[in-house]
Amino acid sequence: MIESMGRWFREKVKGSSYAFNFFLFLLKETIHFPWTKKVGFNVLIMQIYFTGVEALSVIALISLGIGAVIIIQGVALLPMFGQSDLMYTILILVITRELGPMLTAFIITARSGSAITTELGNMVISHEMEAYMSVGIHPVSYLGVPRLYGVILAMLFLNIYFNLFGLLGSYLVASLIHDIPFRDYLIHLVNALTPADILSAFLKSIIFGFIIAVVSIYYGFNVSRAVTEVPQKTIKSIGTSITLCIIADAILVIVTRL
Amino acid sequence: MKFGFRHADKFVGLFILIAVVFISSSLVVTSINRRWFARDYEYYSRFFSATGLSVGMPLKLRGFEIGKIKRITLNDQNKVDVTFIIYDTFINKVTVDSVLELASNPLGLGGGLNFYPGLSSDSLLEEFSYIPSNQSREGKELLLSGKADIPGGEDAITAIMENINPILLGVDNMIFSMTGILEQIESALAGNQSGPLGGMLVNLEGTTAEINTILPAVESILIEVQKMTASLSILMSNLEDPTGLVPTLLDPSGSFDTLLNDDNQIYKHIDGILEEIHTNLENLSSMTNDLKGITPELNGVLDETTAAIKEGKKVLEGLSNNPLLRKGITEETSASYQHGALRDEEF
Repeated sequence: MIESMGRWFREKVKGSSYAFNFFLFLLKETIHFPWTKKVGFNVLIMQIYFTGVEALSVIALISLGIGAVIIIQGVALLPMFGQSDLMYTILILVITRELGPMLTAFIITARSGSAITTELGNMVISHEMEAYMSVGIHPVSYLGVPRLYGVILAMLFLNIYFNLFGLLGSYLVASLIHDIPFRDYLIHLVNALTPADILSAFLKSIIFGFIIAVVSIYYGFNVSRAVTEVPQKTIKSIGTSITLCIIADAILVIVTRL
Repeated sequence: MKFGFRHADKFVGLFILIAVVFISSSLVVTSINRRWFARDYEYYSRFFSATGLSVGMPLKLRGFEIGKIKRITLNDQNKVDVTFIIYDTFINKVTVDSVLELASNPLGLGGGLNFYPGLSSDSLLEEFSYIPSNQSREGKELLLSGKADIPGGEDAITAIMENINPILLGVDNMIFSMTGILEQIESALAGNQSGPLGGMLVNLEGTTAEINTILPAVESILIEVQKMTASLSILMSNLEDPTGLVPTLLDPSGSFDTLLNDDNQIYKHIDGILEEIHTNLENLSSMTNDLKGITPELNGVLDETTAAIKEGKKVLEGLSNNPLLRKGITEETSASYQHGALRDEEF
């Protein structure tokens, strides 16, 4: 038993050490990426396309629905308390500050994070990594870093789209039910929107994108030899990404509200 | 090859472009709304207290926000220096004789800092100039002289606020009147005769003194009347007695004979009694005249007392009608126990 405990502890230390070193190496390569010869540029474009453009429809649908629900509920409920103007603050708070980055992160984790882990894991199993290394290309630099940039940028832009559809597009949905003048709606929305809201959304998008990308890439490269490892690592990747995103969100909220 | 893959660059470019345009326009609109690139003009004013003032508090002209408070400091004279900014779009409103008014809402609905531009001059105040507040002497003078453009009622709250001021003024006046009345009463009670109430009390005192002088005379008259009544009573009882006065009088050798042949002794006695009655009646007459002389003064005292009571009634009515002082009666909610007693409950 003691032997098994010792083995477990040794493997944990070894795993943590590997993860930490992998993270440092990825970070170093990420910093160097803009000054490389853009070998991974096409990978970056394709990653943005997969993660951002292809997820746009899902994001638009979800943000439209959430925004419309908030407006309809707000218009129906808040005037009862004489707090109609609070609807815009709630809209900004929910869509721009909280649900926008978080829901986008969940969608990207489910769609792209799992895809990255699966793709990289399969490439490891099919010995493509060795092929890259044999021609002098480091797989983390060529496959990992563009994906990291791609996910972060896609996350950032998708969050902007989430706000665009959630704040403006949802008005169209809500206007079918309630008669709200668009000019008043826009003026109140702009008055409620502060630079801190935009900055918070930006910061969360970048941090969540970074977390999702790093976790997905790590678990993708963490696949050793068996095909059965791929779904296991994918599940772990999704779970870890979501957990870390929630923890990061809580920390950011506490820090920004202190 | 899939259409999307072939044109991935274009899709990604468009995807980024739209997002950048949206976020850029949002930032521009927000920055305009937050006046990041707008010119602000700085002025300062002075208040006695910072109560009701706060940094960032909007400065309003007829409901429009024309600026806000930038800084509040306590100076060496223990007065509050307030530095505020006026937006460039409203800078032409800042004329000479402009006044600031800190409107505090007694209903607890917040307040505001109102700006009243000067009317007498079209010349604009230079930046960093002093604009008096309604708490300063010059500010009060400007407001009273009508040199500042003070608007009438605007919204409901402003209307309420404006209605409250006359009520407060009425309360002030009532309290002032009450203070005056109390001072007069106090002065009168202290023996000073300067006020009308003092005069009233002095007159009342004089009247009382005169009544006191009359009372002994009245008392003596009453004693005489009492004696007469007693004599009359004896006389009547004698008259009623069949063996008493009448037979004695009717007896030929009785009282009548004695009465007619007594050298007018009885007559003199009766005459004396009548003289006494006459004197008493004269005294009564003089007392009545004295009372008649006092009556106007008594009437005056009563009228003045009635007027004072009416004044007091008005004060009390004003106090009872005043919504600020009238807190109403706290509603009592009776929480009745559903069961008659604990033993009535069915478990």
